[in-house]
Amino acid sequence: MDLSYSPEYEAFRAEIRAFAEKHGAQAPRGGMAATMAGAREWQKLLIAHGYAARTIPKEYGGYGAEPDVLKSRIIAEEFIALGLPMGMAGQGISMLVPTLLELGSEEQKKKFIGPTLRGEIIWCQGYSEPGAGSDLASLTTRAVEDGADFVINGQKIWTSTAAQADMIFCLVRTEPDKPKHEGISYLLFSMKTPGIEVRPLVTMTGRAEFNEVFFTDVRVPKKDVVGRRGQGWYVANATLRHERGMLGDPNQAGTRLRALIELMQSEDVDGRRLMDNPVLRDRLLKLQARVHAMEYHGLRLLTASLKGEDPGVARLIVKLMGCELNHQLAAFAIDALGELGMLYSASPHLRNGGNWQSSYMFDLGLIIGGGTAQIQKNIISERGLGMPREPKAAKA
Amino acid sequence: MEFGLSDDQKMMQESIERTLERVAPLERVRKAAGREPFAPDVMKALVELGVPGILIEEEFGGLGLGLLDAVLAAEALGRHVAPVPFVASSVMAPLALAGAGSEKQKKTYLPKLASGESIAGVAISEQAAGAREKAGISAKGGKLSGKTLFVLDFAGADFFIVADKFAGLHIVDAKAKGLEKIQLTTIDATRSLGELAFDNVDAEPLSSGNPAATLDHMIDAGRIMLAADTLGAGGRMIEKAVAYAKERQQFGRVIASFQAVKHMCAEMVAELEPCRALIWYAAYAFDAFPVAAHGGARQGAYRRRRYLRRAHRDRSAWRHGFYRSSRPALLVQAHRLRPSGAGRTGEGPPRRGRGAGLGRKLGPLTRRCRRSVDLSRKRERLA
Repeated sequence: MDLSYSPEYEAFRAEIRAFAEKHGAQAPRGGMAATMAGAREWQKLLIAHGYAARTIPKEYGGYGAEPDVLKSRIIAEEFIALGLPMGMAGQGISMLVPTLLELGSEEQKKKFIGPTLRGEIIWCQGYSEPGAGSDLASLTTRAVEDGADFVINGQKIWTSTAAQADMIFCLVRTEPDKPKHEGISYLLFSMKTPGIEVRPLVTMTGRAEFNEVFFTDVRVPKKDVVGRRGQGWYVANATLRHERGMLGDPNQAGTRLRALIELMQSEDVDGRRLMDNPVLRDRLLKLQARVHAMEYHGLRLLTASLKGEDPGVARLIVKLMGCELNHQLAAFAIDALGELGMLYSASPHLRNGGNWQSSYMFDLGLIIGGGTAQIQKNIISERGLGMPREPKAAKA
Repeated sequence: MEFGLSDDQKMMQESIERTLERVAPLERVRKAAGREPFAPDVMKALVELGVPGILIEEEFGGLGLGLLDAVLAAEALGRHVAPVPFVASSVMAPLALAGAGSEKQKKTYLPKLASGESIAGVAISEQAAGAREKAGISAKGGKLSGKTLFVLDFAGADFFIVADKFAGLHIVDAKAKGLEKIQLTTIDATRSLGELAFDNVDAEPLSSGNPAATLDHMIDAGRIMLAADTLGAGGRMIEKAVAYAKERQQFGRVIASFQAVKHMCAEMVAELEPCRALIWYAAYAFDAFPVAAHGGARQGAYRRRRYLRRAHRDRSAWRHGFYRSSRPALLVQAHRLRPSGAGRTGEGPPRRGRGAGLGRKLGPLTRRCRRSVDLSRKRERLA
């Protein structure tokens, strides 16, 4: 065990700092929507230096470096430490691109990966339906073949960024007579296609983070199926794997913990800092230990992957624990804020722009999204502990 | 950058595991618990593997390994509730001698600890957790007076490492004149705690090096060991709970197929696994960034390295934060799943409650353990 980095990696770290010194001022600040153009410029700069799309081949618009998880980690560490925004995220980059690299056709890779990486195509994910959530494979949005096209009818729900998206990667039922896992296709199409209606879903945060998407005789080309027709379930599972890693990111908890510590140092009640309140400090320490535990847990998984070892059940708990922890941090911040924790939106006296309140509410959704906590526990107990599946209910 | 166990470390832990599997099955543990000072046959098998000398330098007959290796041993011992001295005799006492002993003292005591010829108890509770009932040791002219509670690895100890009120360390022979030894009854019958009363007792000061820093070091190491021991026990309890759930049938199916049971097991393992990484890190930090570096001459050199600085911060955070967070809930959950009913009690999770002597930072954990163990005993009596 040795947590020091070799000179090669320390040099890489120095390179990032030099980059930050030179280009840090160009980093986009503030809300994403306001500075989309700025974010695109920044993304281009990051790709050119290998700090975004690092391992994606050059021919598809990436930087083309050999995969090196340590360098990826160093990039994340340094960007967080330097307060620089990371490259663009979002479902296109985080989920679709890895899936296309793994299972897409050459034409699809050429056509979609580059523009997606550069932020020129914004994607949304059409998975959940009103009747197909945890049991996603029961989805009923139909795609019926008609010449060179599919004609799509049905409805998706909980679709993030559908209102902004240019394209959708969507699960549709193409073979209704096959068993439910075998009749699904993973289809890419434009959100500008006639017959698509997006209705925003306003959540408890007061924002429309999700949407409903309705398809009425939406005609899209057949050729943009990823993987083989009818194999969409397996293609989607490849994508979900990427999402779960993203949702349980321990870096996020570390960042949030630092913000929490700052909050407790800067806020005071009756002239006493929150940090000097022993009850709050005790709760903070418990959370801090959990954040550190998840951080080192992440390092353990990283080392296992470097050595080609299977970390077993340790890998399966990250989404569950990471999302819960992020939520606990926000919940604690609201407790620590006391009466100020009741404020929201543009209220006078609001702290941190209402981020804590917003995270507290939104993170409840993340515990559900990308595989609910309950589904995660099924996975942990079945795949990790070898416990049997719930027997299928007898047909009534 | 590597955060994992080496092949040697894995092999060492496996061989301790296999040995304990053989020499310390639960029946053997029960026989020893509360009746013998410790199980000499189990101790002998561990001596053959070099476990008591794990931290002792090779020149004094030990293995010269680090705290991470000791953590792996402690985890294995915890998995088997091994009724042998370890945390005081094989970890804290060797650290006391290495940190504050003279060459002569090292030569006299360390080889005996490494070979299992001597057992050392450690009396530092007042320094680690505060004084109760006016306990505390005064040192004057090579003599000790006063009393000290919660002495670790008490039964069968040949000598004691004792901290006085001013964090000075002393060696006291167990047979010294004027020393009264009072055995305490503990919830964990495999871990011996005692009280020592001194009436002008001869003592040998451990005054080389930096005794105060050494004492801090011992306390840190002891806490890490107890965390590792609990990790081992917790892991074993989850395994047993899962195995039993796969066997026990109700409503015509094994209870492991009910989500209510599966989710409980998933929660336990999800709580436990990150603790493993945290304990590894604590031990690694203990070895890589010694406490002395906080105030010593080496600090300047270390400070130039960013990751070390960060590690210092993390380490102190760890020292303050870990114990309270190690989720006793999982022990209670494992306990709920323990097999019940006549004839099955023998397969329940091992009795826990280790660590009472190390004081308040482990308080919530031990309290919960205690409660769960008390319950388990009540049920056993009823059964």
